[in-house]
Amino acid sequence: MSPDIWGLTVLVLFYLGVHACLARSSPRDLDEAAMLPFADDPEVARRVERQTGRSTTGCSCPGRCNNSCEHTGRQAF
Amino acid sequence: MQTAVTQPAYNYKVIRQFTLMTIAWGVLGMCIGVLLAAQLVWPELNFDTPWLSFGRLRPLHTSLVIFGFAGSAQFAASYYAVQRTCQTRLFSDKLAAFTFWGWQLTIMSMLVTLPMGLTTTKEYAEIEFTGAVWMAIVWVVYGIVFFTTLTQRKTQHIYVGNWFFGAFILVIAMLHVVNHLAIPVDWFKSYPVYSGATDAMVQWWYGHNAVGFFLTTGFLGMMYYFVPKQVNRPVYSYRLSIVHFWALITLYIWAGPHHLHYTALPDWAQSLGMAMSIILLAPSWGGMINGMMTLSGAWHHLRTDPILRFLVVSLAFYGMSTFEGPMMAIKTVNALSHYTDWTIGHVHAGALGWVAMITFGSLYHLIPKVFGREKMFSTAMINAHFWLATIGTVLYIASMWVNGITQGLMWRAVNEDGTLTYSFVEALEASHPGFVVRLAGGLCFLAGMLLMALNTWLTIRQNQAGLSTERMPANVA
Repeated sequence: MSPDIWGLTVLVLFYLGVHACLARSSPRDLDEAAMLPFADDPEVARRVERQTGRSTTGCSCPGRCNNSCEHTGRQAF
Repeated sequence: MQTAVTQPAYNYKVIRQFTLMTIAWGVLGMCIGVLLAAQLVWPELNFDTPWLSFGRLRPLHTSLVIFGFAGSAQFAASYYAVQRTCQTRLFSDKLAAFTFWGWQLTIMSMLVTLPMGLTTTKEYAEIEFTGAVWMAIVWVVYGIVFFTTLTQRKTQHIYVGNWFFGAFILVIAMLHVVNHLAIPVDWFKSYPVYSGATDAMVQWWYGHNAVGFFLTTGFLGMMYYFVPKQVNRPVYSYRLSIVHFWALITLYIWAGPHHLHYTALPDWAQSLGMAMSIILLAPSWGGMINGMMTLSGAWHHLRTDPILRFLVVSLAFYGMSTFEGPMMAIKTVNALSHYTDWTIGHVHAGALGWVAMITFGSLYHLIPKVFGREKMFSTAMINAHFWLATIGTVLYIASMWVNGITQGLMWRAVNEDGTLTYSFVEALEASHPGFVVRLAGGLCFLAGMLLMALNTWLTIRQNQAGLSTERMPANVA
């Protein structure tokens, strides 16, 4: 069997996989997902917020959270 | 995002168990590795005892460090990360406990049967039929626990680390079942359903992906969780991590034929394996750079945090060995490196430098949390462990590089009349200094591992008054 067919298969799988994951994700979705390791650890979340300036206390909006935006208190994405 | 809420009741018991067994199997597996290194320096150390001979202990060493040490570490890390990133308890405490006891039984069966000479003779798949079937059952239950926990998550997203853990579980199940297809004639004796070049191809499809998925993909899941946690920064590029995931899993599975260059395998398959191996460099380095760049703005932590040093140096070794691997897969390079100690050095650059170091870093992060302590008993001991592990790894791989190139050049040297310039024994004698340095490197690495065991024991024994109530909620089991 030609290696070209296998190569093409790999390319198609790669494209479909990446497309399925990223096509419908907004930058905001990706930011929120990136913050998941800190989501259940308030102490660490505060440190991350202090050091990166990225809010982790209600959403992943850029900048420090002032607890007044539409996402505050949201318990799920 | 759900944050600053009451912590759900995580199942930490199974994580504590797997963590302790990671250390126990690590110590034992590395002790056997050091004994094997010593046997290559002083062959009489086998004491003319069959079960102490190199041929029987070598598969035991690889099985204990791969399945006992690395396997237990990935159970612990995946159970920890999946609960915390999904903010939910592991599905079924009983099934989780079954995976722990079932996995330990698998390793125990390796510990007994391999020194007895009961082996399939397939590298990294030596466990005979009954053990292999049991292993598959435990693995399926592991999959059920992990994926059901994912479905019960309280967050919308599945964190990228869990994608890597999930791929590791699925692909290992497929590889293990396909490679172990055999006709049993006894409880511990079977014959593979494949023969000839097909058998070799299936074995190295499994063998290479044992490295690719058992010793890489799961540990990348570990990296994507523990590096951000330790450095207090989100992963550098979440988008890149997704591309990294898909590129890695679509490419890795095809690279196995590079283990069979210049054999009876069809030439197109060899070339395919070589080409895929070279392309694999791109996602591997993408992941490595993503991990490294997560430290942007926080590099100064390396001065004071030996746990972070473990994680970063592991990424450096990952980058180095994933560059070396594709180079060695090139046929002309492989003609020099294959069957020499260069391969052993390459494997240990990955096994000691990447797998073991990221495990050490992750466990040092995790142990205080799952045992409810503020921090590890001694940071100085972690620091000493780091330097012992780093020096040990460098001694090991440098000596094997020198040995490998020496052996490759001596084996291929021919006189004008076409006869070999050197006999095999002459090449072996030339390798002896390298074997001694390798033993010294192995001893350093083992000493570091023993320090970790001591530090963990002292951490667990720490006065309960030092417990961090924030880190150990009352509802954690």
